[in-house]
Amino acid sequence: MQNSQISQLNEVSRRTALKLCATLGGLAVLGSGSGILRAAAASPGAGSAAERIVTTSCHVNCGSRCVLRAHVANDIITRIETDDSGTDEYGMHQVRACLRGRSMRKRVYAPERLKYPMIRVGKRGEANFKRVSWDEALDAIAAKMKDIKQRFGSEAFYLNYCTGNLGGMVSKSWPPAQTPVARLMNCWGGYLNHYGTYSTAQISGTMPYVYGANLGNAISDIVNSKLVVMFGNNPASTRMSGGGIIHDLLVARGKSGVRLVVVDPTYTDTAAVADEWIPIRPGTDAAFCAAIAHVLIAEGMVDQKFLDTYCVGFDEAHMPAGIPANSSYQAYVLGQGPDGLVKTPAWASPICGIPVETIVRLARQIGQSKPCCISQGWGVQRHANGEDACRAIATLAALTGNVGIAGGNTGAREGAFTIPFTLFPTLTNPVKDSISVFMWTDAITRGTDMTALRDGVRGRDQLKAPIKFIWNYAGNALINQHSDINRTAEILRDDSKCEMIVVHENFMTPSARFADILLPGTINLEENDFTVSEAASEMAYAIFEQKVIEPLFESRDIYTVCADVAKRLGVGEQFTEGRTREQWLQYLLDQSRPGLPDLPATLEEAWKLGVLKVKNPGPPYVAFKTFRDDPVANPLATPSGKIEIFSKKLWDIGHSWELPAGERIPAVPEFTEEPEGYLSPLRSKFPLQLVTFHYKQRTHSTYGNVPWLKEVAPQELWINPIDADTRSIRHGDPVRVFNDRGTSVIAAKVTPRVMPGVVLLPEGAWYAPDGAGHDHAGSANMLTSQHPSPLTKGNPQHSSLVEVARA
Amino acid sequence: MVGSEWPLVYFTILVQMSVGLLIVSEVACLTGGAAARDLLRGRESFSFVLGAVGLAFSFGHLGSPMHSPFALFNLAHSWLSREILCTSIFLASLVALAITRYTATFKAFARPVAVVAFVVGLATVYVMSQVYMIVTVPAWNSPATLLNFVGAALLLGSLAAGLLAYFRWPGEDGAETRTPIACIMSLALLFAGLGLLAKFIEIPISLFAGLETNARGVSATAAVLTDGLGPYVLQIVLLIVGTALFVYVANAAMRGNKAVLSMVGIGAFLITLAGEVLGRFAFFDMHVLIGL
Amino acid sequence: MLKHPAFHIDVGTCTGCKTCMIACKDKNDLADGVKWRRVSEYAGGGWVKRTDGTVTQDVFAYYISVSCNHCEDPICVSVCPTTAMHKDESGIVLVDTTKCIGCHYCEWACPYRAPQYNAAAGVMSKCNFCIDYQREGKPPACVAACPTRSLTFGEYDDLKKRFGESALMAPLPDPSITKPNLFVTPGRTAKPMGSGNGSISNPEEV
Repeated sequence: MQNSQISQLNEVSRRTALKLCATLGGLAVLGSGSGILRAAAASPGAGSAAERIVTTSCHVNCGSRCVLRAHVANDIITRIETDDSGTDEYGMHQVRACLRGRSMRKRVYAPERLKYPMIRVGKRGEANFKRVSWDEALDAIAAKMKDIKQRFGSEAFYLNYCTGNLGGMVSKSWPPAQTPVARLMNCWGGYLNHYGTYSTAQISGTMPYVYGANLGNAISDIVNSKLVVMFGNNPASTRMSGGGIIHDLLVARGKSGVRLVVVDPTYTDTAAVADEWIPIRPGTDAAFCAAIAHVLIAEGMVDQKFLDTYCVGFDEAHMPAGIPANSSYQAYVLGQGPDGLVKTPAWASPICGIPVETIVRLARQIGQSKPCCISQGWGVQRHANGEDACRAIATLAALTGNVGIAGGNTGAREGAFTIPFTLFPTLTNPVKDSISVFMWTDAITRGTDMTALRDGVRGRDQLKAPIKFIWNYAGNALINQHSDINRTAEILRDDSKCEMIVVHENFMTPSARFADILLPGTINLEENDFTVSEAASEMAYAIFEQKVIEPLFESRDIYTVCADVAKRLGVGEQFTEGRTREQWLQYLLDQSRPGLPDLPATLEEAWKLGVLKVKNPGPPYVAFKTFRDDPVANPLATPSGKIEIFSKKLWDIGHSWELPAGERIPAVPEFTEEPEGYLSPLRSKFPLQLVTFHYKQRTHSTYGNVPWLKEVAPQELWINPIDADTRSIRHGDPVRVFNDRGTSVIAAKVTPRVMPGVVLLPEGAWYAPDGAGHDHAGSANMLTSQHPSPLTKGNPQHSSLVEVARA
Repeated sequence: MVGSEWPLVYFTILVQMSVGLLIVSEVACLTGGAAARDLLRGRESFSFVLGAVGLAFSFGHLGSPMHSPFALFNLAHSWLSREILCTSIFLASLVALAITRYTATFKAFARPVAVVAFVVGLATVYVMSQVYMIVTVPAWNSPATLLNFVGAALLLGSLAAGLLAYFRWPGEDGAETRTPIACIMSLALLFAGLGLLAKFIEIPISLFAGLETNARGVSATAAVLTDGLGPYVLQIVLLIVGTALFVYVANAAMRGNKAVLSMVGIGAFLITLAGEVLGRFAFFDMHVLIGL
Repeated sequence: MLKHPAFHIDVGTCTGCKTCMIACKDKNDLADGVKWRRVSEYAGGGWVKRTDGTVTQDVFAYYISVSCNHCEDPICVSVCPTTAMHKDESGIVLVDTTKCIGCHYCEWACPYRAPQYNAAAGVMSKCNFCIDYQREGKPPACVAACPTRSLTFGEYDDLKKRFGESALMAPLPDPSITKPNLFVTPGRTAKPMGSGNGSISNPEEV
């Protein structure tokens, strides 16, 4: 197998002639569909003089980061290959891209690429734009920014949650604070922050109350486990990289043969390679865990010594001061707490749909397997009651003494082995105000009403200003990925509320349609950048991505855009510090070298090297190992320094925050009911629970316009045959999925792989409304709710009730 | 009803009809003598036109018809190659037959050429059926396919032959033409009956052969009897009605009565043909592969 | 070049990600609707809703990725009227597009659905075992692409030594028909060949 060799690229200047060539080449490609691509591929063979191969990457929000090798002939990308270096020996293995990255050509050359800057005419959301020059667009942005700042202050500027371009050091769209847009705003007074993500709002905000941090053992650590139980974790669909978690998982299982149990409403692609699938009703994991805890307690399988030494809140003897009796988790489970319900398997069984004998059997297997890896993905927490549910799973790990040891786990999601790399400096945000990632629509409509105690505002007791200006760089959460599309559209349409939305995008996405100023952005293959690995267990790497082709049409990268805006705001020098983008890359290389001595010295060498891999020198990562080894010397970052099964902080919050009627923040991980869950009275109207899972056709909404991917993995509503039969629905029939918030029409996949009473609609399909406002793409957020979860004010995007009927 | 294989529907039906017309009319001529030959004059050309038009239809099924000459390259293994060869030789023999019979020069060759045309015609129907005896397509891979094609050839060929003679026949004119028309019509009725019988036998056999459900959960028989039930039943009805009408016309002719409107005769033919076309569409809809 | 090339698929580790399908489409510039490699989802089992509000099930699902098995007795080659479909000296079954008439006969016959009609060109097309890559000493695109390393290729005898006899697994057809050069390692839920327990549940994707 040949090694990755990147031929030295001659300096390509940005002369107009070259740009024109590329533009014409691009136009030719776009004009003739696949014909030109075939011709281009047919002429130069791989490795011929006319062709070069450039190392690059795929910058989507998949939690991984893969190597792509772009074949270029006549400045047109003719083929995408992946990492083919070495022997693929595990530990120095190939970072093989998934199906989405492999279709990159179809994304770069999609006919609907945005070509030039545009300014809205007509009403917002109608996608009525007129073409303008870059200068006009940038002038308009700067002028409006000055206006908004003068009238409302820096707190009125919001960097929306955007994860369409992750990985790059310079061109990065998330975390918001690490983006060039943040640097721009920080040069000029700051912006309103947000905390949390649509991926992890509940778990990332809740686990610190239990462990002080949200950490888990590496998945490769399961070679040391006697049993692995995954709750709502589907790496086969959410960590698809061949250099990432799914490969790590299968290799580890191949080595030890450890039994893998998947607890999930769906027979996921991970369940397909697991040893057992336990179907569970969405939103009922905390009940399931309480019943397991009951068996562990009743049959003497809790690790009492571990609990006594490392935990607070399990039993009455280990509670913080000043808490009423029977507030411990054990009291809750044994029915000695306020609700008086004993959490037996018989109690949990009709709630979660799992037979009593299965609950008992799994509890015994968990209790008797030493060590046992209990983990969860991010599906359990993305619920209205996700904060309590994710803690309940962590509690099982604590009850069985599996925290901080090889082969165990914390109950949280798997960790990763990473390498240090200096990030592009974005300065400091003078504004400390922060809202939940999920509540920006409230911050538009009633911003100054939002408080710390009621709406989760941080940094200030009450918001100073509503959101008046939104930067939306590389994201589709303006509409499409945010809940309740109809409501969001209504809020956005009122341009007296949020007065300016700037969108920097590759395509006319649903979010782009709501722009006031729409800027054509480059895709990462049109930029020089570096990226580092993300979720991978035993090998980390840096990818040095040389620009593959010149930017198509008039697209520009975000750094250039921000620099140009900065100039107009009078902070140009401050923003660039006199550096070009490439000089910044050299700077980052130099800053990172002390921590990574093998880093190349120059950009030229970096482009030649392509990929730098680093093997984990030690054993698989174990979270909180030092705490387990010595809890006194290495306490957790919790008030007690221990694992807080009962959290005094949460107790205080639960008693001080202003929560809507019926909502609670319990101090122990109780089973709390969701407004739209299995036990909700709303089920008499909308009997089906909708889960909006992650699907291989796209990464969220990225790649949602690639025909090849739609061909091999079409958007469908997954429905159980029992539910389909009663609705006279056959496989392939178009169906309406609807509730009081909206309607979506999409083809049905009738499959036994989903529980009766549950339907699945993969998130990320591009919202496509008809005249009546019904979506026809299967865009899941037509159905989801904007009501935030109690503690982290996060997105409950798996907690919706719907009905389905033939269309 | 999918309908996408219409070129092959018309190809197979027309070539089978062409063969059937030749077989039935040649047998009628053998038994009916010169007067019958006179009534069935030009049968070689009619047969040729039917077959040639059918062959032309088959090109509509091809993605690259310009490569057609290569289609004779796999006689060793491919029934399709053999089918093209047989059909071509059959059509060529019809031309040769017309030439040898109706020109003075080659009259001596007429008899051997006729035998060749007859035998190659039969072989063509057989070889055509073998094209569909694909082991991975259970609904086709049964004796029903040969019965289907033979039945079609006999039924449609008989009706074509009978009508050809009927239109040539002047009517209640004289005793000389009555006996030949009676001879031709009775043979046509016999072969039509055999053809219809073949259809009645092949239909249940093919439905039985197509019962198998493949890994995609598709059964040819289930598909044709649910989504395609209407056309399938209509096929049978049309075949019966068309044949019955022909019986009526044939009987009238045998009683020396040409008062029966010729439109009835045409109607009988067209109705039977329509039934056969529906049946052939259903046949192609029953292509269900085993395996993936 | 290999003398007797064969594929191996490990159904037990295949997650049905379809990367092999897309890598092949990209490498060969395939038109929409043409899939030289196809991942079939085989699923089945049922559910029982009990009166106590719980459910029991015996659901299973697994994926099988197949392109062309370059069979020893390829039915596509024997039915092809023009000899466009032929098996070359390296054991790879190829389409000679200068001869193919696009009659679909091979497509009618292949129980693995390998021959795919290229409407734009009017001829049949299919997996060519990346014969050009093999000549350069590179693996086929699908094998090199697979993130879970579930696809392998090599000499038939070597694969047999490594993986043993191929499993007779649903939904694959009886291998005695065409003698495919394919080794299958079953997963935990594999159903025997010809079993009526499940069905291919993603026909719209293959």
